[in-house]
Amino acid sequence: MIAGVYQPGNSCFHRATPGLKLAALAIYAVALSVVEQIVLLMGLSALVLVAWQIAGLTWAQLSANLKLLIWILLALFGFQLFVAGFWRAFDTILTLAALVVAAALVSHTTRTDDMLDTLTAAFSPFARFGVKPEDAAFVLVFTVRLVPFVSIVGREAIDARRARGAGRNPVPALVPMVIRLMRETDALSEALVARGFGRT
Amino acid sequence: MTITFDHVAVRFGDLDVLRNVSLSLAEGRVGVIGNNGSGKSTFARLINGLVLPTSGRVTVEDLDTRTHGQEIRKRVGFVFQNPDAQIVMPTVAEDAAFGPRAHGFSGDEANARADAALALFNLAHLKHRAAFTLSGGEKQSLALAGVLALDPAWVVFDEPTTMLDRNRAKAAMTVIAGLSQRVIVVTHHVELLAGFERVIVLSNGGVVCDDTPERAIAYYVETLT
Ligand SMILES: Nc1ncnc2c1ncn2[C@@H]1O[C@H](COP(=O)(O)OP(=O)(O)O)[C@@H](O)[C@H]1O
Ligand SMILES: [Mg+2]
Repeated sequence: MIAGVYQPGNSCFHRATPGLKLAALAIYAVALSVVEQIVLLMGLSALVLVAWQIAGLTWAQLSANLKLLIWILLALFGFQLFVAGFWRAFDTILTLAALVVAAALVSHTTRTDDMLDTLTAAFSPFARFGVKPEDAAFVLVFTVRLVPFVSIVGREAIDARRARGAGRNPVPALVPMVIRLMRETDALSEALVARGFGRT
Repeated sequence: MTITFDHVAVRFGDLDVLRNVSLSLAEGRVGVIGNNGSGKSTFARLINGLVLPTSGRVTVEDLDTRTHGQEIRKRVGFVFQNPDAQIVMPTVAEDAAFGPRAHGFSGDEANARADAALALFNLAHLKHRAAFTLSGGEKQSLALAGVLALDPAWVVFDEPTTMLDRNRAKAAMTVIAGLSQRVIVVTHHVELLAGFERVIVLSNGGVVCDDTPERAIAYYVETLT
């Protein structure tokens, strides 16, 4: 149901190789960021919804993915609205939301094992520069794990402020959120090492 | 099969957390107690090289944590206080396979080990669940399953029961008592260490008592609480 979890299925997205899906995701991300006109951006965003439908995923799954990011999107929207105006703010969150949905589409239709194998192969040419291909692959997959994590921390930071009488405005909660994220990321990276990742 | 601390000191900035600790651990069940800030977590993290000594050395089966961290972490599993920090992969099955994969087992072998460890904790039916949707107790079990999937010789627990209610703490200690591995438990719930072979009391940067649970706990309760 939630970010990063494989949903068994037999759509063309499920059957496509992870490498192809990652390349498409990269092209899509570039397209989203270079498009200037808001209408084109909306068209591109709609495209990912069509793909979602084709992959046989549900709208409940879509909203579950977006819910994870809702506070971050709101905070960004508020911030951009303040410094750059409505259209810029709209552009930012639409781009981000479309990207998140596209990434979720890839992870919902790809087994982690297959993703790891593909990424490991993709990184192997860099081995001679001292990159460990397996580790680099893990780092990328691990990033997916951070999405719900960031979202939980964000929600808690806002709740903590509300519990102490502040309003729902997410912007002031960003500072405690970032501080806690840094602390928790420390704990996560320690756990990664303890479980055998990286460092010798 | 021994863990040895040889004149170990740990300093963070100008804080002496441990000073000149020398001991060796060969028992099957060892407890480490002490007040908050007495260096228990630092002691635990020294064993698998998450913290390196400022001076002196720590060895596990004659391997130095300074030079053989990775091999040592395969032999010494570590269970953190907060399972949320320990669970690193999206789904239950993937998380249980993470340790074996990170230590270089093939995908099939890693998955087989993960399945076996999940079955041990009755988590097999949750294999495909998103790990962060598990209940607190299930997360704790998953954290331990992920460690046991590597079949370590030792398991170090840092405050395994601090975040649990009384019943869950008891259940956790029953699981720990049943492990075939050697176990080192850091805690300030002294009552959980009855039945252990040896209990070490830390205070002021050093080992102030190293004895049977009865005597070490009595010492701790009388002089430090
Ligand atoms: N990475 C670190 N950097 C600085 N100080 C630390 C670090 N880790 C622990 N400390 C300090 O060392 C002391 C002992 O910490 P710790 O080993 O966590 O004790 P315990 O687990 O018994 O509460 C504490 O005062 C703590 O603040
Ligand atoms: Mg501690």
